[in-house]
Amino acid sequence: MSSVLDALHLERVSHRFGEIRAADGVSLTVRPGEVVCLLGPSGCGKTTVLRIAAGLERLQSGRVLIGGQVVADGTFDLPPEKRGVGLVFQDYALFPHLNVRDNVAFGLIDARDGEARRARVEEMLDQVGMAGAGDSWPHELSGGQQQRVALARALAPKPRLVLLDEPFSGLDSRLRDQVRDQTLHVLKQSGAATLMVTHDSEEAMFMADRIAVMRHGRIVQVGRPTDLYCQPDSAFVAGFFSEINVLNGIVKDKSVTTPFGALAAGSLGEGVAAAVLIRPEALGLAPVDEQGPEPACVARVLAARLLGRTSLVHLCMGDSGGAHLHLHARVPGQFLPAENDIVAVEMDRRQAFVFPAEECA
Amino acid sequence: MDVPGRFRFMAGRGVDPWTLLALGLALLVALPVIAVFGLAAIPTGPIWRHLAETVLLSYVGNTIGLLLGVGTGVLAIGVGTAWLVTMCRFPGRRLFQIVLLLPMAIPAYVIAHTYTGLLDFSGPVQTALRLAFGWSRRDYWFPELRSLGGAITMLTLVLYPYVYMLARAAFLEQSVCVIEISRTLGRSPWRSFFEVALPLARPALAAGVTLALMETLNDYGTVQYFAVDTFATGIFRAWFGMGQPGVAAQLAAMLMLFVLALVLAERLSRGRARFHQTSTRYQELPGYRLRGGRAAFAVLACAVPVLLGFVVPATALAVWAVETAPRMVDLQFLALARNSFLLAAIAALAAVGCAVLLAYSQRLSRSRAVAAANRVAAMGYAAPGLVVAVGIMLPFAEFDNRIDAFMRAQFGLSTGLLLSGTLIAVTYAYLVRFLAVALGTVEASLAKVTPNMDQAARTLGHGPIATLRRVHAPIMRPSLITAGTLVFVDVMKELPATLVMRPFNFDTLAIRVFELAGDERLADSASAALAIVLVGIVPVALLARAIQRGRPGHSVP
Repeated sequence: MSSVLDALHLERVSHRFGEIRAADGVSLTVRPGEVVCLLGPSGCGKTTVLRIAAGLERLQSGRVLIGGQVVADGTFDLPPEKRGVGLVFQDYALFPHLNVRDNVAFGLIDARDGEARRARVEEMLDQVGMAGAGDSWPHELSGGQQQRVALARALAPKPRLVLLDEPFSGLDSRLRDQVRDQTLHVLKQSGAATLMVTHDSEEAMFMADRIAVMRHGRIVQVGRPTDLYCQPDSAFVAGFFSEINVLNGIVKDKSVTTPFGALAAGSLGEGVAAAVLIRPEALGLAPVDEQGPEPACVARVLAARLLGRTSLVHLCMGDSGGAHLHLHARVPGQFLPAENDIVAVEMDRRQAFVFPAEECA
Repeated sequence: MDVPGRFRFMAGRGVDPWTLLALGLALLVALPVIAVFGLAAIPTGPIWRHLAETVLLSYVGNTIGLLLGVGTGVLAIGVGTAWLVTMCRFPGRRLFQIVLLLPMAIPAYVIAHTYTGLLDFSGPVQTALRLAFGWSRRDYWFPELRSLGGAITMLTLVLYPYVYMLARAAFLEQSVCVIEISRTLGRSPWRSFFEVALPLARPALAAGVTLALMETLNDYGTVQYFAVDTFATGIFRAWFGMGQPGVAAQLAAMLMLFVLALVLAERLSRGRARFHQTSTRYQELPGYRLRGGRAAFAVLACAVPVLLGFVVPATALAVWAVETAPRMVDLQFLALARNSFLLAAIAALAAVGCAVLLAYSQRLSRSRAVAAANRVAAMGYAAPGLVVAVGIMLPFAEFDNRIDAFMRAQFGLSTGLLLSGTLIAVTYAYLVRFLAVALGTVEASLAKVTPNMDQAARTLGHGPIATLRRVHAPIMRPSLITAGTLVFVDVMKELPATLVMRPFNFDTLAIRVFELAGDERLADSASAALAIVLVGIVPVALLARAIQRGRPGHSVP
């Protein structure tokens, strides 16, 4: 339930665009100083939720509280300028007619004192590593610099809540890592609560204290990144955080048979079609030792590629029905067996999940 | 690089014929203005001094008054209506987006005549007031339309669409994100408009106001009819009233200085900050939903300019035309229409032809000289019709006189007028004035044909001209037709240059309207005026179609 301390509290927020349900009973809380990521595929409604929180979209049903105060409840909407939220768009939307300093100073309305205003602008520019760029114009800046100015502008009025809409997707991948890192530190230093929208699970795990996964307008699971990664509630969540191997089976005696042995089927009923999801890093590979004991499970290597910190090995296994399975294994470091080599395979059961097969359809 | 035949020629150093052609055309357009300044430098002695002591000050004062008044008026109406129809939602918004352009169809002199007919002492409005209240002439005060204020009002009513059009485009181009950011940073919708949207639109607004003010300086029909002394009326009077072409040239040069000041002011207003959009994402515009009183105000604010600028004058013209057409639409009227059509068609063909040559030589040579030539050619639009007339007629007349004198001295025969007062002269004037209109359209269209297409055609054995004919021309055909139509309509409406330069006894619809109105036969002039207005609706329809195609990323049904 809502607490006075919550920076943002969404209560059963629903929103329709004509026939499309963009948000369907979304409830979410962001505590002060916390970074929460709203993660989901494009079109899942996450941006709509962010815009409702900012007051840019009129609330249709539910309630929105910021800092314990109701800002929208379906009959009344506090306009965005009264909500005290900072917003950073994907394309930054710097004001092209103002230089960097005036962009950052734009939200400092209450600072009657010009000196305080100037000091705050310089402090913010310094924090984001843009000190001395005050006289530049937006079009003179690179994408990464624009992003930092946009962040400084959003944080300058010391908002209780910062909303970030895909703030890194405009940057190329190398720059993105660097800007991400810096953004996280600036946000944590500011003490503001943050709600960030992204479709990139790795980015969400990098930034977030907690992640809310959204699908078809609903939040399907909320938790710490480790919770979501290690204990997904659904095949969707399990599959959203990494590429994943899918094996099909039928529940028999409360378990599902796999080449790696039987897995507990949990609450699935007898005879139900089940999907077993196995993370590629759950598969441990080892060369077959001629002298040693017969390995429980072997596979033939189709291809092996070094991808930097890990190696990706494509495996071919025969399943119990005689069909061939194509599995991916990710092995730390350099492990590159030759094509058609036979390797021993072991599975870490903590990283294999059983769900109803229909969820994977 | 080894390139065969024509390729080498095109790619080669030295001067190619396309560059020469472009430079030649640019010179042709610039010549009248250069001639005006040249002629103005010839001292005219006491007459000029007399002018300077008597009327010059009122010319300057009235012209500045006109510019300030019209500038303020078109900005207020143009920006206000553009903001309402792009950013707010109220009943009739979609209709207003289009019909707000309609006043453009009415030439300033026509609206001036119409309102004079409606509002003067014997017009329907004052007559009705007298009947209703039993007043007689001395019992009431009624604003005098034939005044500087009246001229400002008339010009504002038909010129605000320039600002409306460009402001609307600017507001649509602005990423809505910047306004939303402004909201989250504590600005109300109103303050966001003034602190973000308006400053961002400034270059477009400056361009729109500049266009409107160029038209204001070009106007002769309205100020003459309202007896407001400006440079335009001064030039006419000095030339034909006083028989002093030298003084006319001096006044024309001063008028041109006003134009140059205007162009310079526009450039300066753009300043250092070139407003690149920092945001490329388009979203549904916020659409502040207006209800009740506010919605009613928005409807009123959009309806009044359309009513006063189009509906009222067009209706009055239609009523008068129905009344007088049986008398006025006769064989002579058809001859006028034919003349108008002929002039406009010749000018349109000439302008589109020159525009294609200019744009294409720019594409082929990509040299600075040709780019400069194109810009010079486009500057002709800034020269008021009377300035162009002075700059062409005086040198042509001098030329004719010299030839005539020479021929008479040598062979004892008079050649009379060879150039002045011919269709060539008046077409030349139109070309100078309206080449820019065609050039803009053609350039935009040519830019859409990728250079790869040229290269494909060239490698398939087509020379530049064959490529133009077989690749570019078919692709550009719709744009060429649009360009021709725009010039055609501009020529149909044109008054001052036609008035001075048309061949003897060669009257057009516009001339007829002007002369009948001058004789206080306003109702009789309605048929011809209505014909001009109807033709003027064509470019408005073209614009409206472009507007309805909407904006990028806009997916609303």
